[in-house]
Amino acid sequence: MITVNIAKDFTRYPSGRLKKNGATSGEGFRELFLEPALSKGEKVLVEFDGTIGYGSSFLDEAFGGLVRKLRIPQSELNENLLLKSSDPSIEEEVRQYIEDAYKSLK
Amino acid sequence: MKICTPYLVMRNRRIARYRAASKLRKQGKRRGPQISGYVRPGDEIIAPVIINLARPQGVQLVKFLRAVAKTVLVLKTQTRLNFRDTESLHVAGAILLFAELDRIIKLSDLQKPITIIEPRQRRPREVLKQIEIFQLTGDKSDVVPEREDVVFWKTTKGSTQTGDVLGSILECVAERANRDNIKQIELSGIWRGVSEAVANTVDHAYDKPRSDGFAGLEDTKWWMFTQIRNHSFTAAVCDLGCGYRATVNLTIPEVFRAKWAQILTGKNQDVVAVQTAMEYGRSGTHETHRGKGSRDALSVLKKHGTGTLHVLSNTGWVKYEYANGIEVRTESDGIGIDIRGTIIWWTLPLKEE
Repeated sequence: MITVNIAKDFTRYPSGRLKKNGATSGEGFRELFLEPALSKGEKVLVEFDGTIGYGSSFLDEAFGGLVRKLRIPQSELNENLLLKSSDPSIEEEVRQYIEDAYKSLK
Repeated sequence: MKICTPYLVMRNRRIARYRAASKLRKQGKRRGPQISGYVRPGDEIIAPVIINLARPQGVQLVKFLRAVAKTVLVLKTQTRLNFRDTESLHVAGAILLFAELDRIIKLSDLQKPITIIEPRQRRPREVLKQIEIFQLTGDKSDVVPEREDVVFWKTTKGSTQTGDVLGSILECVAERANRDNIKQIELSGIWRGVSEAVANTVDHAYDKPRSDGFAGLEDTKWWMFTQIRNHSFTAAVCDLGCGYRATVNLTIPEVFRAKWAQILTGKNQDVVAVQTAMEYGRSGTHETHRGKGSRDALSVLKKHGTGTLHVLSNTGWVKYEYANGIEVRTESDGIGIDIRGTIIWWTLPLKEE
């Protein structure tokens, strides 16, 4: 299992949606850490603590974007993508973006 | 009869000016340009006494900035901005002044397009220094900001959504605010609002040129301003783009069309656009997962519990007020003039009620 701590491995200041608009974007994070592992069927634990905070664009693009781009079956993603945060609302929000992304695919 | 020489004419004018000024002083009124009068472009332009966007000072500030832009960019003449009578600077006015002067200087081909004549009073002089106006224009000022209510004004700007600069400034100001006040700032909440406002600006604000044809600068798309004053934390994000009305119209046409009924009843169109974006989101991509940024602005107030959010876009403003985590009041009105940009501005009290 791969463990990714966003603050340590990516940035303390996650913001924005697309790579073209900034280096700390959700798309950048997704392409660097989530896509390579999840597309091979590996498990990924994402740790959210330690950053300044999260904007909805970042979270939606990183996690909802994962569904829209890779189109991994929902059961497989639920099994392979593990989320850890001391703030339960973050985890809830990410799960909601994933859920919404699956709905938009239907 | 005394011959009216040019010297006497000048002398009489000087005496008349002196008498008019002392009459105003006795009445307790301020000198400076007429509140809603025309501001003439030229080699010296008098700045407003109060730099603010509230009515009626907003009209005066915008006319002042337009006169500066006309002198430097159209007439291609160097100008001096006379801040001698300026007494105070308020958040929205200060950030618009900072952004517009930065834009004008960047677009100008002149060697040193703008020179600042410093305010007489120390406080506005310190503020201009602290918010780096002198740095923008290349002027020198000997004043050292030391007042408690001035030293925590910070400005920054950028063209991308990259959070490093933005985040470190917010952290620095929030750390100071939390050290001195009982009520603590929840940085993650502010980050959500500020970073999404910046992301929105980079994504949508320059989709269309604004009313004077300006379509954005390459290296600066947003300006940010933070402040701690009177036990309140303030953060403001400004862009000089097309405004909410242009992008909301592009993105949620059905909803916007439905709102035309309100517009026909006389409501400011920019106010309707801001309220629509706050309610339904704002996105230029027509994708269902986009457009959450505008609503994130309100989440700052929900998380802090108490505070206000002002959204000023072109000719209108909307103010949201929260207490104990719930919305208690929404106000809106016209500014009286097109500010040609958008300012999103949070004020969070740091004192326990």
